[in-house]
This record gives sequence, structure tokens and C-alpha cells, in this order.
Amino acid sequence: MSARAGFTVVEVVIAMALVGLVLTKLTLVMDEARRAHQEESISMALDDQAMELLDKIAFAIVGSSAESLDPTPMAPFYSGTIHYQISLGVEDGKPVWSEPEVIGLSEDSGQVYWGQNVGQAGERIVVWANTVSEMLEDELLNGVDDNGNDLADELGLAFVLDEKAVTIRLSLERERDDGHKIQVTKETTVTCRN
Amino acid sequence: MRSKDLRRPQKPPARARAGLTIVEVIVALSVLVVAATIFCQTLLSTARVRQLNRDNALAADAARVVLERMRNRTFLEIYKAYNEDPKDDPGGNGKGPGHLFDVAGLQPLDDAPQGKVGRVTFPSLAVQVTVGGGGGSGGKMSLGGGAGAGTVVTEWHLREDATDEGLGMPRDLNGNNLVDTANHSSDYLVLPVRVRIEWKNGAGARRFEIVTQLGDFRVDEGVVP
Repeated sequence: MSARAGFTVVEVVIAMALVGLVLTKLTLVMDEARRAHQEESISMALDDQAMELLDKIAFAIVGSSAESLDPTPMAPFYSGTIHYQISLGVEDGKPVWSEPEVIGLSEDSGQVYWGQNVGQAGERIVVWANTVSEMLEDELLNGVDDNGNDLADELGLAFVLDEKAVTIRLSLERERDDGHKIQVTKETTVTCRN
Repeated sequence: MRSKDLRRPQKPPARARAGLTIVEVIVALSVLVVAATIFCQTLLSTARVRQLNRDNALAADAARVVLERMRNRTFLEIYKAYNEDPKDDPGGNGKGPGHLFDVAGLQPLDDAPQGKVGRVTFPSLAVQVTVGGGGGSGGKMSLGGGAGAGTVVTEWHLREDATDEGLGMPRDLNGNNLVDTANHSSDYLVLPVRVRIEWKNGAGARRFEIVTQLGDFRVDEGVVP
């Protein structure tokens, strides 16, 4: 009889308790790993998007003339929009400039847009990104410089001019499934070549 | 005999009751440990590669930004602002950005000068110069004509005869088709420059560098080339 008995109730209970414990821990670890993976994926996607967007903006500004930039904010002032004209070449010894172009942040929609002839005939507007943060990372709307970049209350896209060089700061954000916000901030400087 | 066998409960053979032998358990555990080790190593190396890529991107962007800031200066000020000598900085002693710089997010090497990760180099040489004295000797150059001992100071001269294969030196810098031993910090037309960033991370010491030549291609107004 003893050889056919299998497990006792105590053994089964202990085994089930252990299995339950292991499964609970495993579920927690898996959940944490899934969340970390999601955060990493979003962060990498935002990273790529921010780099691509910064490159686009930098490439547009690098071909422009410093004289064509408007407005021309110097730190601690900044602008969320920049107007410029790029050089198309030289004709009869004189430089030929493009139609007026603009890159800016639409504060209502959080979109970065590029525009040409805005408000005039032949207007063209293209949205380049729509995940821009309302404010730059670690900045609050309180009139002081919270993130230590010499600017106060700067928006998610901020241009600062220093002679011919333009510093571009950009924060993108996205929410995880559980509502946790993930932000990525990039900054670069380009000098107008024309 | 036959009926007796039927009445007695049959015991399973010893082998069937034995479960796993100690050798089988050890082999199974070894395989499990090896598999777990490989899995962990893969995870770790993935994380390391990701960190490496991130660091490389930071370094590349920082080097590019330094070059952009150089381009933002008057061309003939670039060497003086970014060389090793703070005395010749435009605007006064130590007012320039200098040849060393930090990059947020990158950890400097243990022996990094002034604990900075970035360094700008030109084809320059440190020259001992006697200022205000009555002449130099022993490889020292003399500036100033007065008699007396004078003061020996170190100056960094932009030299065409500097030897640096990476920067394409020696070469003519001021457009006179000659490679001489003069200081060309005030009349260069082409400026070879290297921006090097060295940092450390989990994988050891890392390096990123950009070598380029800056030139002033602007034509003064009213001058027909």
C-alpha cells in the first residue's frame, strides 16, 4: 500500500506553495522585464526620431544665411520658431535665395512643422514630428531656469542664436502603457554657412 | 506456482523505480547552467553594445558641435581661441574655450588632462621664447630687442613643419607654396584640426576623432577673385 501512496497532503501543499511562490516571483520579474523592454524600445525610438528631426532642422539652417534668420534670440532668450532663407546658388555673381521658410513648434498640437511662404500664395506646410514635449525636459513654467541651460521656461523646441551659430534643443515624449511618460532630449549646434 | 504469482502484488523492476541517477542530474544541471550563462552573457553584451552605441553617438555629436562652434568664429581667431596657450586667447588671457572640453554623459580616462574627455589639436609646436631679454640661445627664440636676461615663456606656434601624418603635415598653410619654420598663427589660409574624444566605459577605453581642415572661403566685398 505504501509503495502506491504517491505524495502526502503535506507534501502536495508544500510543493504547491513553492510553485505558487516561484510563479509569483516569475510573474513579477517578467512584468518588470516587459516594462523595462517597453521603456527601452520607446526610448530608442524617440532617440532615433529626435536625432533624425535635429538633423533635418540642422541641415535646413546650415544652408541659410545668418542675416536671414528671424527672430535672433540670444540666451537667456529663445524662440520656438525660426524663419530663414537658404542659398540656392549664384547667378550673375549674386547669391540666389530661396523663398522664406520657417521651422517651428505649434504649441497647441505639439507638432514641429516646416513651412514655406506661410500666409502667402503657394503656402506649403509639412509636419515633421508630433511627439514634442510641451516644455523642454526638467523645465517648469515658473519663470526660472530649472534645467540649468541658461534659458527660462523654454518650450519643447527652442532655438538660441550666437552670432552665426544656432543651438537647437528638442524634447520628445511618449507615454508607456501604464501612463508613465518617457522623455528624450537632444541638443546640437550648427553654424550658418552662407 | 502460477496461482501463487497471481496473488502476490507485482513489484516494478528496480530500474523503473529508480528515478534519475546522480550522473543524469549533474549532466542536466550542467546543461542548464551553461544555457543560463550563455543567455545572461547575451543579455549583458546586448546592453553593452547599446551603451557603446549611445556613447559613440554622444562623442560624434560633441565633436561635430565643437567644429561648428569653431566655424562660428572669425577664421583667424580659431587657432588662438582653441590652442593650448591661454595667453593668446582673443579677448584676453584664458577667455577662449581652450583645447580641452567636457562631454556630458562621457566619463574621462583616469589620466585625462584636467579630467576632460575632449581635446582639439592643431599642427602646433611649443616654443620657448625669451621675451624682453637680450637674445636667445639653445633653441630658444628671442622676441624683443632690449638687453638683459628677459623672461622665458612657452608659446604655441602654428607650424608648417610640424610632423603629424593624420593632419597631413608638414604642408603649406599660408598659400606661399613653401614649408617653413615660421609661426603662421596670424596668416594661415588652411587650418588642419583634429577633435579627439577619449572616454572609458564598461568595455574599457574608447576613442572617437574627427580630422578635418578648416578654410576661409569668403571673398572680401569689393575684391574680385
